[in-house]
Formats: sequence, C-alpha cells, structure tokens
Amino acid sequence: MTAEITVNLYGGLERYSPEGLRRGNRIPGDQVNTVAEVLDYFDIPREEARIILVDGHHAELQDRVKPGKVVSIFPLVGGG
Amino acid sequence: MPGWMGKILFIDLSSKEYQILEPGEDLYHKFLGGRGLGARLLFKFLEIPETESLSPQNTLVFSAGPLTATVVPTTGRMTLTTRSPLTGTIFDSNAGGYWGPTLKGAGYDALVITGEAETLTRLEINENSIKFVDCPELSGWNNSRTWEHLDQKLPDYQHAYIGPAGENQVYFASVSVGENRTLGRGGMGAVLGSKNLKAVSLTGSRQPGVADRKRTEKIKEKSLTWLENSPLTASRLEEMGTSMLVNLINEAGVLPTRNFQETQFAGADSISGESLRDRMEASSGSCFNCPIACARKIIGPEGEQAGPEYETIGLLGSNLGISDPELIAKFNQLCNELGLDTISTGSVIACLMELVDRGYFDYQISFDSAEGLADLIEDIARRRGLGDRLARGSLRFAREAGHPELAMQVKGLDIPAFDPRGMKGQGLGYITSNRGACHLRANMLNIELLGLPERIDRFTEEGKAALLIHQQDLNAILDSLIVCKFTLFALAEGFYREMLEAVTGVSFPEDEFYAIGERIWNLEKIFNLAVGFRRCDDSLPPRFKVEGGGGPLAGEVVKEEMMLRDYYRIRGWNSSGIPGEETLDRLKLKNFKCYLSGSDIDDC
Repeated sequence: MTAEITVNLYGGLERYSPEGLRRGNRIPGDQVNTVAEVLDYFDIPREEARIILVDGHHAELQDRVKPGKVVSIFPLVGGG
Repeated sequence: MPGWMGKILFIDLSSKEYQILEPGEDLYHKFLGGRGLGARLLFKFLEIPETESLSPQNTLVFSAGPLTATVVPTTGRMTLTTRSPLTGTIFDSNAGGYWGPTLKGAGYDALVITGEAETLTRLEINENSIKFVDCPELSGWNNSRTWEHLDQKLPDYQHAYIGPAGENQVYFASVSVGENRTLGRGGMGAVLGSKNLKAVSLTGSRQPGVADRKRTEKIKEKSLTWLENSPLTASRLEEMGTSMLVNLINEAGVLPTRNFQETQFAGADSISGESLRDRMEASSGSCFNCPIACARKIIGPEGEQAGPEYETIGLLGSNLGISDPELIAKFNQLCNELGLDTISTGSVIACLMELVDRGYFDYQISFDSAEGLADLIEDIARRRGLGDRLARGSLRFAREAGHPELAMQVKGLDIPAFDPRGMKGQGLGYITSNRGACHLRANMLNIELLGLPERIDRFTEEGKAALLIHQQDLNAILDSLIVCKFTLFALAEGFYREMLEAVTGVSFPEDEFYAIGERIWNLEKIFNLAVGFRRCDDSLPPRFKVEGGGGPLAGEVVKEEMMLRDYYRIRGWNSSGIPGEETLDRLKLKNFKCYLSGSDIDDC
C-alpha cells in the first residue's frame, strides 16, 4: 500500500517533526495535495524550506504531491 | 604597489642558492596572484614540455594574492602550482590557514622552488634570511608528529609539510598547511618528496600596503554583514561543515556509490552531517580572518581529530559501500596522518573493488566491507605490495589491469562526490577542467543543485557551456585574489572587483576583470596542449555516457559532444579545443603561441 506520502526533514528541520524524525515521517495521502500543504502540515515556515525534492526532483510550492511520493525538505545548505 | 609585496623568492634546492626577483606591475595586473601568478611563473621557470612531474627540474610555486593578509574576510589562503604527477597537467591547489598571509609577512608574493636536495631538507624563511636545514631524522614521520615538532621548534613560524606518502612519492600525496589544512589534490606532496623537501616554514611581520583604507574598511564591514546575514555562512557551515550536503546529494541521486555504479546509498543518513553532529561531539575552527569557521573537529577513537569533509564521506564512505561514520572518520584520520588525498585514495580503492567484483583482478577485498582497508591505505602510503601499484592512481592501475574504463577519472584526476549524470554542467566542468575532474573549478553545485543564485534545470545539456565558462573564469579570479569560494554563498560577484580595486588602487573595468580569469584559463590550457593533451582527453569515463543512474537519474547519461562543441566555440577555440589567434591576442597571450605548434594533431 502506498496511500501515504513520506517526508524527510533534513538539516535541522527534523525539529518540525512531531516525533523528531529526520526520515520516514508519514502523512495520509488524502490530507495534502501540494508541496505547500506538506510544509503547512508540519508548520514549517516557507523561508526555512529552501530546497524541496519530490522523488529526487526539485519541486516548487504549488507542485502536486501524490500518495507514494517521497518529499525531502532542506534548509539552505552548501559546501563542496 | 599596494596589495602586492612586489617580490618573488626563487630557491634552487640543488645548489642551495636563492635569488629575489621583482617581476613588475604588468605581470601582477594580468595574473593577480595565487593561481594566476602560479601558472605564469611556471611558464617562466619550467622547460615545457620536457620537464617531468617528479624530476628535479619541476618547479613548485607557492603564492599569495593581492587580497591575502588584508582586512578583507577569508583572505588567509595560499596556492601551490606545479606539474602534477597524477595528471601530468598544470595543477594548482589552494588551502586556508595562516601560511598565505605569512608568506607576505616574510615579504614575498611567491616562493618558487626548483632542484632537488641531497638529503631530506626543510626550509626556514624569514624577512632577512633563508636557511636550508637537513632533517633526515624526520623521515617517515606522520603529519601530526611533524607538525608538533615544527611548531615546538619554531613557534613563531607557519609550516607547510609532507607526510610519508609525499616522501614516498605517492601520485596523490597531499601537502599539509598548518595543523589541519591541506593542499589535497593532484599529488603535490609527491613533488615535494621528489625534491627531498619535508617542510617550508615561514615567519615575518611585513604587511601589504592598502591603496584606499577607508574604502577597504567599508568593504570589509559590508562583506562581514552579508556573511553574517546568510544562514549558511553565519552558522550552518560552522555547525555541520561541508558534511551537511550528504543527505541532499543522496536524495538528488548524485551520491557516488560503489565506484559510481549506483547513485544513491541506503546508508547515506548514517554518514550524513546530521548523524556526525549527533554522534560525535565537535568543535569548529577557522582560517585567518574568516567568520565562516567551517573546519570541524570531532571526538574520534583516539581523541580530537579533523572531521571528515563531504568529499571524504562520499569517496571513503558511499563509494566503497561503507555506512559506519566511525570507520570513515578513522580512514580520514589515517589519510590525514599519512598525507593522502582522501578523494583519490577512495577512488583507487573503489576501482580495485570493482575490478575484483567483476573477476578482473584477484585480491581479498569487497564493497560494503572495511576489512583490510586500513592496512591497504597504509600500504599505499608506504608503497608496499599492492599498495605500491595503487599509489600511481586509479587510471594507471586500471590500465595495467586491462580495464581503464573502470577508473572514475578525467585526465587522471579522480571524480569528486557529485555524479555528473544528474548535473550536466558539473559533468562538462569535469571534462574541461585544466586539472582533471574537479568540482571547485566552477562550483556548478551552487547553480544546479542548491539554486544559488537561481536554480536551473540540472538535467539538461543545453546552455550549460556558457554558464560554466562564466563560472570557470570567475573561480580562476577568486583563486588568484585569493578568497574562499564559500563567500559566494553570501556575496555578489561584483563585490570581488571592488575589493581588488580598493586594496590595489588599480582600476579594473568589468570586462578587463573577467578577462583576467579567461586569460588564466587559456594559459593553463596552453600548458596542457603543449605537454600533449588532446581533444580526446576532454572526456568522461564511458560509464557516465552509456549507463543510466538510479532514482531520479534513471536513463540519464551525459551527452558530452554536444556540450563540448558549444564550449569550444564560446571559448574562441577551434573544434580540436585549441585557442584561436584572435582569442590569444585579445587576452594578451600572444607570446605563448609558440607553445601551440604541433598541437593541432587530433589523434590520441
């Protein structure tokens, strides 16, 4: 069953997870429709979510998110 | 000449003679310092193409830039330029710390070293004297012991030095700078080793002049404000260092895994910056005049040690299938002690693992297992057994094993921890970089993955050549000023020109400013053409051109021909990648045309 959306919160954003989880936070698929709604679900301020990937592809706030997808959210990161 | 000291110290280790040269302002205005000055001076002192990398005639150019040792933030860096034993190309590497400002403190913009000492030697240089000191007793000493010894003996000096790998001329031996900064890539440590040069110690209290103190002070304040206003340069690099990238790079599907056979690693989170922070108590450290403080220390099994950087985690972690952060920290520490580049060390071991895995080579080693790795790393540095063969780098080793395609490199330099199939501009950067596969020549990571200053489509080849060229030229300038590339996370590009003008008092109109970067790039290219690099050397290993990656990289390959055509055209080079007359004239490189005779032969 892939009725859920998996959400990974990296780089300190795990503090917005109710369980303090970095990987594998789950949202029932019918609760959110877009990337913006995923942020709202965890009360993550928009300006803190600087890079958002859906199944590894860069996504924008208005992009749709379907059940079974993995959403990974990062603050501003850098290095190299 | 504000900004510059105006003097270059030339030392011949064979005759123990030295000479002080004053090159004149035209050379400084054309090449600035650091990398640009290094390339220019290499042409002055090297017989090209005859000089081999590990011969006494090869020359080391240590250099500082016009901003080095000024109040401008992050200007503690220094450059070393030479001909690399690993790639055979011209090669420069830069490191932070305090050595660069001290070079100017001793009164010099550059220190040029040639020849070969009879016994293991170290140099002591101050404002008034140069001492050649025999030091056979330091032979085989690892880096921390060497540093402690030098620091105790000469507490007022800054030191650059090599470990056992450099002494044994491992083709990817590093040079240590200060207690824990490193000139990592290209085997420059082997060049010091071939000259019997263990260490170069400097002291001095001279300071470069500053043309416009008020403007420079203002620029300093402004850049400090910007650096403090970016969460990245203000705190996140200090909290996590470069290892913060691991989870992003993995989720984006560009994390090298098992010799780049895969592009995502199931154990990525356990070796990420977040895990390292949680599991190992840490402190941070900074270079001269730097508010970013990205250097991490962790508590390892044997006490405080340098924390692994992102590249090390990629190449000694996921690329070997290793998911235990304590093992990576251990291998990192071992490489640091022996003086080995962690990227090439990881890469040559991954290459060996794949050769064994495919039945092309007989040895007890496998992906996902750390068994025997610490001994193998030690054997590489000491050149024992199989280690002796691995010590010449992945390309030579894979060729000897009959499978050069399994060496993940360009021009012999091992590919860093970003898979080019998911970052096409980065791929073109690896292909065209004058020192082989390098991520720092153009920093396409910022644009293609981080969205700084704005994000573009990372998967497309279209339009990447023009973008990359701009980045390459800009970074050639940053490497010559010299400022830390991490400032690009917070500062606007035009700001670097303002810094240069304020410190030197010389006007650099915008087009002339960027032409400096382009001039340096073309001069390096001329070096490589002169020593025999050809069109076909501008190429990735076949893996990246025919095999798709995993996750978001499914079906993605690099179409390099299309990008290269654009790249050569925009650079003003012909279809074989040779700079045209017009380009050389425009860049005031006419005098270097003589090096290109014969380089239009397109075969390999």
